[in-house]
Amino acid sequence: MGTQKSELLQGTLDLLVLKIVALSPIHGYAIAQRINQISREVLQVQQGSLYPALHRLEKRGLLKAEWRETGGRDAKYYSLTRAGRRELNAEQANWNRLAGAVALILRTAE
Amino acid sequence: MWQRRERELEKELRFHLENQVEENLRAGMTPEEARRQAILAFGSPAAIGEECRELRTLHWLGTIAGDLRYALRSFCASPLFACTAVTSIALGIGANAAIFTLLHAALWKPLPVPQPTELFDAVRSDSTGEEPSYSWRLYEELREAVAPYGRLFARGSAGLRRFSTGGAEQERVIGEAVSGDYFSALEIQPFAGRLIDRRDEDARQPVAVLSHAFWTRRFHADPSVFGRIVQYNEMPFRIIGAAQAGFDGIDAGVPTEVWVPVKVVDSRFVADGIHSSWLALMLRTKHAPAGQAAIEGRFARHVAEELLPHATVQRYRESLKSQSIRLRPAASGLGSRTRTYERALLVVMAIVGVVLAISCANVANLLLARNLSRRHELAIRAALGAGRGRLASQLLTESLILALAGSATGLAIGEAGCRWLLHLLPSSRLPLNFDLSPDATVLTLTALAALITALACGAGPVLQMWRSGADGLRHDGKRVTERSFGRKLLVAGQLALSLVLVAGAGLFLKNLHGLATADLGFRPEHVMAFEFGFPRAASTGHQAQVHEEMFERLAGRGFQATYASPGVYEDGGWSRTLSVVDGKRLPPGEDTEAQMLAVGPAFFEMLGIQVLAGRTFDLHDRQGSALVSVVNETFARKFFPGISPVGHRVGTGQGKGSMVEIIGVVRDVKHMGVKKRAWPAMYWPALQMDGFDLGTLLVRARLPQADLARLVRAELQNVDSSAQVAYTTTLESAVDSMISSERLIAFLSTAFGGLAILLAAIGLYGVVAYGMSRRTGEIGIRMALGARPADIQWLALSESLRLVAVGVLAGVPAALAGGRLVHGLLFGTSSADPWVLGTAAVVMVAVTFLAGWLPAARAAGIDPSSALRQE
Repeated sequence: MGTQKSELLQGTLDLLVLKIVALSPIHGYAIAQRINQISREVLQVQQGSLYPALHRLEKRGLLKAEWRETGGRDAKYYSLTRAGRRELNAEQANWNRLAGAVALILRTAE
Repeated sequence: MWQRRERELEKELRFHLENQVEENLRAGMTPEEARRQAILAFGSPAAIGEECRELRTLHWLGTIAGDLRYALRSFCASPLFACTAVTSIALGIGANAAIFTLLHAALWKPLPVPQPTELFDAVRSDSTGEEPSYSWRLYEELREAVAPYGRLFARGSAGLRRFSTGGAEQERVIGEAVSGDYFSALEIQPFAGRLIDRRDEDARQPVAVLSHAFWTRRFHADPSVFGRIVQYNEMPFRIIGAAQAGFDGIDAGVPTEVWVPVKVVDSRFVADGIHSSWLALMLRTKHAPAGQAAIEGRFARHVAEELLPHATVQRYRESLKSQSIRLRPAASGLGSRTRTYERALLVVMAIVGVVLAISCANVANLLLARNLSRRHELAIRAALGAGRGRLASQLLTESLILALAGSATGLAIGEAGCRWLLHLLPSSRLPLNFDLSPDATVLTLTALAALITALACGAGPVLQMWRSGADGLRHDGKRVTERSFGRKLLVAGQLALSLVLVAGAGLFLKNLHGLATADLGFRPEHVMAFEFGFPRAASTGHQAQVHEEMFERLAGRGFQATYASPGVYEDGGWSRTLSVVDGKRLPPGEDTEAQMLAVGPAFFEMLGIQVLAGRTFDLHDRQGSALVSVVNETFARKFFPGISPVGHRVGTGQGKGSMVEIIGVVRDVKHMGVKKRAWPAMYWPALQMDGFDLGTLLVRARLPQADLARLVRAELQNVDSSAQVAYTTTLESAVDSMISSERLIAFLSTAFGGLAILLAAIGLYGVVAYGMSRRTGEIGIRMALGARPADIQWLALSESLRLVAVGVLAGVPAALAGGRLVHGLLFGTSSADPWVLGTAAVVMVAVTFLAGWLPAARAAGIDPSSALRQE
């Protein structure tokens, strides 16, 4: 647990959520776990921002939700809509471009 | 739908939390620790839920619904508080709604015509403030002069006249005599048929237009009535149409039912040329300044060329020279019947505005006190994730609910109050009749007032919450040592405003008392006046005969009766200029005007008018005997300074130029009203006047009014079955109606002053009682240390006395300033009357002493041991 934790950049949470949801329908708790695990516990998602983000994306029509039973309890599963997939592709490309540019500057300026 | 979403949100968040707990358990934590850590990691579910909720469409609707539910629940929990607050606001708003509705209906509501702001009342006035009417000649000249800029129309006599369709069914309707331009200038459309126009002014067959309401009521909106001949004012008129629905003339409170051409009905006055002035003129123009200039120019020429050469009376000449015409905006019509009350009502409007401010302060104070005890709750809500904005909207919702409930109640109170106000106005020949149902303007303004009230009441609690925020939790929620400076300021302000109102009420009461007890020079008690109406054909000789017979019949039944010139108790009859005194001609140009009053035998005795010298009339002073008259003191002083006028002869130069012998002097009588000065007056024996229309029968009797009226009606039927009793009144109510405006304002200012002081006392009681309850512990300690109950009482009382002192100190200058504003409404009462102001201050102190006494007595009764245990 000695790894340093990083705050999520403003606006990147949406992208991460879309990416995770794109893999398969998934509920909120698992999304938080998944981000945590995949980032090797660097990125800690605050529940206080995760749920508002999920509801925001759902309202924008990028996510759709359905209730499924898991382990004897009802859970709200989110999946990507067609618009959500388009948004994910666009945002991903955007992010890569941005990250590449930032990396380039950091490298060149050394 | 809301509830399903709420359930789903809650389920989703719980699912997350439970998963976290399970994972923590798997990691080997104890169940308690697992739960605690999960909650710590998760944060406040309430706050997260709140954030998710805000994302929803129309989420604020849910917020408002929640706030409403919450506020209603909390009001149900403290019904006494809610009732006090709502009643407080209802009284404030109700008073405002009542006065505003009346002012609006009587004076401000625009006429239902296109572009009413283009309408102006052409007011002719002289330097003394008198407003003479216009002659037909003058109207025609002005109409021509102003034609390039607008349309000038005239409105002549208006009043109750007999109306019949030829059958026996007669009724009296309100008619307006108008010029041919009346409808076209007002841009009134016919509902059916056509309206009066210029052609009808001189038409051989007079025409009449009905109001839509009258046409519907009397003829059931039957169009076949157009073209029929009806009798109006005992003349035949052909009905040509009905005016557009909703239009009932240009004078608020007197809804016109029939319009006829003024040139036809008032042909007698038209024939008089410049010598009869009875018209009111209104102008529709888009170019008021140009219209004004055109009218003024033509009017100046008219005065110089036509009026001044004929004017002999000095006072009249001076009046003419100072006369001018100004255009008064008249979007709401003439308001001739209601303008008298405008100033009084405006003052009352200001008073009720202050009352509303006081009741707002009261509610604000109540809310503040309530929120102080809710501080703990608010702090917890803030700690649980309620933003300050949410709490503010919560508090404002509460005050809004109070304001709305109060305003709705207030509107109901207002409408009832308004009807009741109309009863306070004196009865008259033409009863005032307003449409008082609240219209859009009244409703909008009331809603606005409610909103302002809500903000004014809610601002304090919101500010208080904003400042303290979540800090409230750091205290234990009970022993907050808050400074109640704001609340004290509110109470001191209330006391100051109440002092202003109470002092104002004192001024108006003193004014009314002065006028009501003023010596009129006669005794109006138990005297009733009757005016008879005769068919047009009845000769004046016949009328005089009927009067005389009535007098004899009533005397035969043992009543004291006499008669007098019409309006002897209202406007003092007519006036003439004396030209000859003791054979000498008076120099022309001198003011020698005197009031002339024709009176029957025993007039002075019956009205209790004191005879100072000589004798009064008896039955021998009749036609054929020597001409005699009785004069009043002012007359004697003016024309016979230093000597007794009895036995001297004067002449008016009128009639046969005969001289009249003065046979007696009586005390001055204020025929023209208690506010007017006494004029030189000459009384004539009615029996001596040639066929003079006696007009008014006066009867003194201790019978109930209705019984006497029935008796007189029956006798009149016996004497002449074609005659009618046209109008009855008691002299007392006639005298009373001269001071009706003063009575109205005195009554209302007293009522509202009382209300204001009551509200302020409640406010003071609240603040002091609350302060004392907070200091229970301190009082316990003081008593344990040896303070006597009297000391504690003084502690509490001094608190209220300090507030009263501040209120009085601030209120006295404000009351003086307020007094200056109403100076014009007072007769013979100074606006800075020290007695009135002093009494008002004493009343204030006494009432607040009472209000402060209760909490003081309670504080003194505290048992120190139990007070300390409470700590």
